Amino acid sequence: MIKISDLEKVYRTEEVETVALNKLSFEVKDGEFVAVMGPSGCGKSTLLNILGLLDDPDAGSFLFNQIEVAHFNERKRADLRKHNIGFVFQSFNLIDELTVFENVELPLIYTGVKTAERKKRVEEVLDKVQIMHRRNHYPQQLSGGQQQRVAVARAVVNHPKLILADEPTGNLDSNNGNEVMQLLTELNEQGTTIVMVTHSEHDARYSHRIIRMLDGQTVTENILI
Amino acid sequence: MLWILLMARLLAVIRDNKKHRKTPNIFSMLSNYIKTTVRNLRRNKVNTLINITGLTVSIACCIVVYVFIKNEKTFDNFHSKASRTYRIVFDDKTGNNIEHGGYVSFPVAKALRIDFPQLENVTQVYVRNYGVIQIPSANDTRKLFDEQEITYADEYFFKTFDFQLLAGNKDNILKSPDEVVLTKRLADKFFGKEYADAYNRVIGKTIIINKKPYRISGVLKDMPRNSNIACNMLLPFKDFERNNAATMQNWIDTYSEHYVFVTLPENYTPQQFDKALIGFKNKHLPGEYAKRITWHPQLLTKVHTDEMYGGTYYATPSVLIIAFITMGIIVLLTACINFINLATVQSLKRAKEVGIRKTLGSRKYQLRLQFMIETFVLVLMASAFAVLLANWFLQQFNQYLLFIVDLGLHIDFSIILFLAILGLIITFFAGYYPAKVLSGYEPAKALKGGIQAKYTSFKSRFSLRKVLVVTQFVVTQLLIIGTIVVASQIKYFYSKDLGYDKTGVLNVEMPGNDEQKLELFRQTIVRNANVRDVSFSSGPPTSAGNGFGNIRLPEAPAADNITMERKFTDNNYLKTYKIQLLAGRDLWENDKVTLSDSAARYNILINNKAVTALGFASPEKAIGKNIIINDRDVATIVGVTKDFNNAALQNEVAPCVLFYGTNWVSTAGIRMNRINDAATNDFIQKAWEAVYPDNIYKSMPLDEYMHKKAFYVLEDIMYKGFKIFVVLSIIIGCMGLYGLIGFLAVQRQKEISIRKVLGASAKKIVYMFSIEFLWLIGIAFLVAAPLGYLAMTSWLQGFAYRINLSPVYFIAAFLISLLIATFTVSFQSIKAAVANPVKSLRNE
Ligand SMILES: Nc1ncnc2c1ncn2[C@@H]1O[C@H](COP(=O)(O)OP(=O)(O)O)[C@@H](O)[C@H]1O
Ligand SMILES: [Mg+2]
Repeated sequence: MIKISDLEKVYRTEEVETVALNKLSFEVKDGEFVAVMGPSGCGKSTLLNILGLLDDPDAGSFLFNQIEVAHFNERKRADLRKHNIGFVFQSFNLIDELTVFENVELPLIYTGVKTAERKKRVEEVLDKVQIMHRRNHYPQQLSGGQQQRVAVARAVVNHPKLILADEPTGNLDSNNGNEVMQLLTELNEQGTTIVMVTHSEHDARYSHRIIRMLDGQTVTENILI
Repeated sequence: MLWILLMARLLAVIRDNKKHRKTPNIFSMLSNYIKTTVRNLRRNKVNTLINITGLTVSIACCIVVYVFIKNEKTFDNFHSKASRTYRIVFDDKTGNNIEHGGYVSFPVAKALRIDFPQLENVTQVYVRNYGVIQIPSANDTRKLFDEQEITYADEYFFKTFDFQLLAGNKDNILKSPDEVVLTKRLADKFFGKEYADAYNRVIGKTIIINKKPYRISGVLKDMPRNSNIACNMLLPFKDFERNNAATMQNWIDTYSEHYVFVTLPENYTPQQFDKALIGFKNKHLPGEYAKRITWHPQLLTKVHTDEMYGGTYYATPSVLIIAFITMGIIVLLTACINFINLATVQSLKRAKEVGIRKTLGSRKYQLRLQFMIETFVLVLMASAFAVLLANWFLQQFNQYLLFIVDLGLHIDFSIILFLAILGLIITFFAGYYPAKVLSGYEPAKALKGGIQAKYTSFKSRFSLRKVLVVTQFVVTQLLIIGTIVVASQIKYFYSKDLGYDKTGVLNVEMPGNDEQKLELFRQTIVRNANVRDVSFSSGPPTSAGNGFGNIRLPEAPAADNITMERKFTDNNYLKTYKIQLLAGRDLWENDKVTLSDSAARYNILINNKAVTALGFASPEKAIGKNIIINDRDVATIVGVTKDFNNAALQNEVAPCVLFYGTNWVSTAGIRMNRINDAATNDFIQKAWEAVYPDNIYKSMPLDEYMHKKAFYVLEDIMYKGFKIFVVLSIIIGCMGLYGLIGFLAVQRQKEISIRKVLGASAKKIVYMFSIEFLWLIGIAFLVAAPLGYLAMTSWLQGFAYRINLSPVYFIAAFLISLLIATFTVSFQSIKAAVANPVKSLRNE
């Protein structure tokens, strides 16, 4: 599904140059659940942004389903992204002006799903994350755990092949965190590939494999199963 | 242009969509956008309020300007034969000088009818006649009405013009000399409500006009004011004919209120007719005149705007139209700048939404579209309010400017189209930049909160926001400079030494020149101790149109004629108005003369300007000399007056002749010891009404009369309009500034808090904010001052007597704009400065 080799990313500001990714290479197979760990600032989020086609690498290759996507333009990236990739963020990133239902519905609008079909699919997935009863609430009216469940629902409503999760439990207490991890595991069992950044060894144990990073490079890989 | 660009953009978007496997559902997308928009607007109430108010006011201004201009451009285009109807105009060529006019002598219409049987119709009108009206059937038959807008029209009138009759038969009116056609307005005024909507019952009633009875033969729907021949009452031309038999045969003399309209048949071009008119004038005009004069057809719909031949009624000066358009654009610009400023500062708040939407697969154009739609929704709301506001504006306008336009807001296709186009233009102007900025955010950064603070200070070297704020200040300062200069010029106008004393004189309108009545009136009022002098004349010293003529020395050829103003006065004129005599003597009782068709000899006064123009070395040298007036009369100069402003103040003093002519009395000047003495005024009115029982008494102190009626009409309108626009645009600008500072203060709350924690006082912080703006105001002034100087210099060129542009005006404008800005800025920055620092730091 994903194969990156010698991926580089450098941030340049007026004063300093930060090498966020330094010749990073690894592979993720279809259906895998991979955890990425490492100290703060080692480039995990940068990696995820590039995998999610939100950002360009400066050098190296990125094959997504055997297609080189490292130099895709804005239109192609948006297209690939909306059909194939779902995101879950630490800070939930729901749109405050839209209700739960409308937030989850949004990706379907961008992919052009018909209204009736949209309703069906949104309700289905809201049911699955057990938030159906709050469908007409606004994000501010929900607890953190509930918000993250909505975010997960939004990430999967389009049936993406890949889910990228950046510290999904970072803002949650352990109960809520476990619930979200349970959800991700279920999704993975149904065939979705997952790449998750986490600081928690406990959460990492849900995955099949842990990639440990330091200063933009992988240091070790632990295979858990 | 913009509209095309926008359409092209939309088409590209649609084309783009087609290429994809699945098209994002446009309606779902739109409804999603509109949901976010409405909720966003609701959340940022202050912002929304500022934007909606600004846009509403400016769109309303644009609507007013549009209605005004549309009114200007649609004169008389509603007649079914408008495209084939022409007014006969003349060119009069003497030497190198050509004069133009839209009027012809009285026999022309009838002769055209005989000589050009192929013409579909010929009709003549004599407009703007004055009448005093009595209603015999009314309860109070003593009650008098006066009407200024009476038009003599012939029986062919309705064959050319489509004015609608509410009662009476179009084909059968204005044929006899004793009938009259009223408009609904007058019928209601004369007969009251009980006849409203049953005007057939008014037909056949008799009314008295200028002491003669007329039978009502028709009631007209009120004429639209965008007609050159709008009036309130039609009298039959036959009535005019029977009282003016000689005039009807006079091919030479023309009157600027008499017009002839012809309707050409379909197959007869105006060019053909124009050629044929050469033979026509050669046939009818005496040889010398036939050489000078040519007649041409002028399209009816061009009459109002053609400044060369002059409108029939009034022509709106193009400077007024340009001023209005400029003002509309300025107010609009201010509102757009507000919008852009607020939208860009606010965009920081919405970066997250952009990041999320992009992450979920939104394309850049979709986001752009979304933000444009947001702008459009706002503009749409503002437009709806603007229509209501414009309606109110127009009502106020009508009360203000009744003598110029009669404007109403009619929601028709054209105004909706205008609003739609205006809306798109505003959307594009105001919405494009913020949409571009917002849609350009990179999702990864936006979600991380990386888009921030950077642009919140005005210290950074260059930013669009700075340019916009400076632009706003430039506009504000220009407006303030303009207002101050216009106000000073007008004040100068009013207070200028006119060469006579305009205070202390009561101006009374006189209905005729019957000498016995005038004498009776004079003798009655001079008995009052408060009345010092009384003078009867064709008009007060500063008054236009008292008759023009030519003067020359007896030995000089006719080519040396000097155009002069001729005032009909009496032997009390100089005393009453306190005009100084430079040489010779005043007019005496036995200088009185009544002009007739034959040559006359009489004594005159001339002003100093005429002395110079005639080539006399000094006023004393002119005394006793003869001059020729209008190539016919011989006049002896008995006195020379100091120059006084005899024509409008925009113009220089013109050569002027004063003589004791009894033919034309329209004004009494009454010099009093105390001008606003109610008892004296009452006494004068009683005396007047005793002498003229069938007329309506009208009086006004001379200085007030000068303000209201005489010469400053255009300047007054411009000034009043100017003031309204200036206030509106400054308020809108301040609101924008207020909103902007509000956002910047919030953005900088952390900085402010840290400064406070480190010991800065609230005063220091307010100062810090203000000093940043001071810079911008200074830069704006560097632009505004020279621009204002140029603009005002060229405006002042239009006045023969004008103020000098002193630096004080500019400094004042600078200080005022500074004051306004400081006030606005401190309001918000004080709020930020006094906020509890701990609170905002904890939020981090
Ligand atoms: N937009 C950016 N501009 C400059 N430097 C950045 C930017 N984003 C991340 N960095 C730097 O790149 C490095 C990696 O950041 P990040 O991928 O966010 O780390 P992590 O998610 O592992 O904490 C850090 O040193 C960070 O400061
Ligand atoms: Mg991170």
